[in-house]
Amino acid sequence: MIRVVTVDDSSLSRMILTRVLEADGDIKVVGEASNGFEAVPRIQELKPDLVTMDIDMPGPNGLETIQRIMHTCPVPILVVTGERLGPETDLGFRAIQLGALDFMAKPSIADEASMVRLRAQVRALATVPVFLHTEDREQLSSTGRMPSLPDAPPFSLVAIASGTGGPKSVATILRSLPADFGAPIVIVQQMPDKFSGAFAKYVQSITELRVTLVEAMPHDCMPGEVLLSGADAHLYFPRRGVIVGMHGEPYAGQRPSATVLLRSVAETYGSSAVGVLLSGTGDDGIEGLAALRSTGALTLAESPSSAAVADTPKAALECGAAARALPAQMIANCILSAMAGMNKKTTAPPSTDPLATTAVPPSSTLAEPRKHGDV
Amino acid sequence: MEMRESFRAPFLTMAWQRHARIADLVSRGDVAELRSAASELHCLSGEASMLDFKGVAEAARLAEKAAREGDRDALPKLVAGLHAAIKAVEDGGT
Repeated sequence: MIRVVTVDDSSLSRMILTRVLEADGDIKVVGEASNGFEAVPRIQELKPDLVTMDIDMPGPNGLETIQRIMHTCPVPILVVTGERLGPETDLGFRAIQLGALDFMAKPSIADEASMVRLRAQVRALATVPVFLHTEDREQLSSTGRMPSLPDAPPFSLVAIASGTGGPKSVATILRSLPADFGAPIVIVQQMPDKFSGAFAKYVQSITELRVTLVEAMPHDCMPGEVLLSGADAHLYFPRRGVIVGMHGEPYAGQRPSATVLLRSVAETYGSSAVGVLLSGTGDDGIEGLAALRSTGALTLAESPSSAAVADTPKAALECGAAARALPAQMIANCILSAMAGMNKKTTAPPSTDPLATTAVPPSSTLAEPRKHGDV
Repeated sequence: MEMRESFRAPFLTMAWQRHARIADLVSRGDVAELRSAASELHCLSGEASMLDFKGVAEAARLAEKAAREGDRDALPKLVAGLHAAIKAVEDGGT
């Protein structure tokens, strides 16, 4: 039984959420809080598997409450927010930055799928390990060490696949890249389409790099540009340096699909790209990362011990799609190191971080990328 | 829609209470009170959306926007519209 505490200032919303969450019988709402002041002692007392958190509350709002919880009694937090908060603001992503694992709109009882999604997300996140004051963990690995990359070829594109829990890692990486970074960075972030504008706004607020939403018309990529999907479309490189938003069928249930992006990167950039797979659930991106690695490109996965949700990066490491496992800050350092090495033609100093030495041999079974449309 | 029907009565209790507070706050109408009214309207809109009471959700959303923008001229009419939308739910509508 998954034990949940709901935090929401509306008693009616808490009642509805309880009914929706408990519908299948495997989730039990064991407690509730109507504001941030009540939430922390309630969580300390009940030790739930997961907390659902509203954001727009009087007193300490949801963001402040998340921060307080993650500093005192960390627990998986799913932000369940008013629908209008999503597309119009980046509060959901700020919540993730503070330690929440994911966010979604409040379900509507007229939309059965929204209720099913909420329960599925609670099940997926309830067992995710979370840690006290996550910023401290990032700082442990952000001491400026530059891991050596003996196998890293020069690169001209960074492609990042990110899922549940990934926006915080995306932020960590982008914050570390200077405004004059020498390559475009293309990102597929798994989330409901209606949040893509909010995600772009959030990303632009945390980086000096220029953020571009890719639409259906071909777009010429520039160095130092962060490219995101601007609509319910795949990101696709028809040729090197040009990206489009492609309205094809969902691939393995995803649109945009990280695998579609990474496979097109493999076909157009080959070994001159770096592929990164961050926190997430499911297997989207693994096949694409494998295709990229088969070209000789450097492929990195967020280390399962530091990823908010380890499922996808762990699977990518186990099957050999990712060559190395690193925390998000070290991934950024790694990219900077490779870029610096490319520019200066010098060798970066060896790393002393044991995580940076986690090299994974490629799997021979991944040499042949799967045909588009295969399941 | 069985679930919605089971929540109709508690929704109406909450909605009428919120409407009374909103009408009072709007009639007083300084900046802090309009902010409180906007917060009440936001909650009401969210609750109505969860239960798919579209008329209340939309009326509350429009009034919330006006409250946040400090549009004192538009608010009385919008609050009256919200009253009518809640009454429609009370009469069995959505």
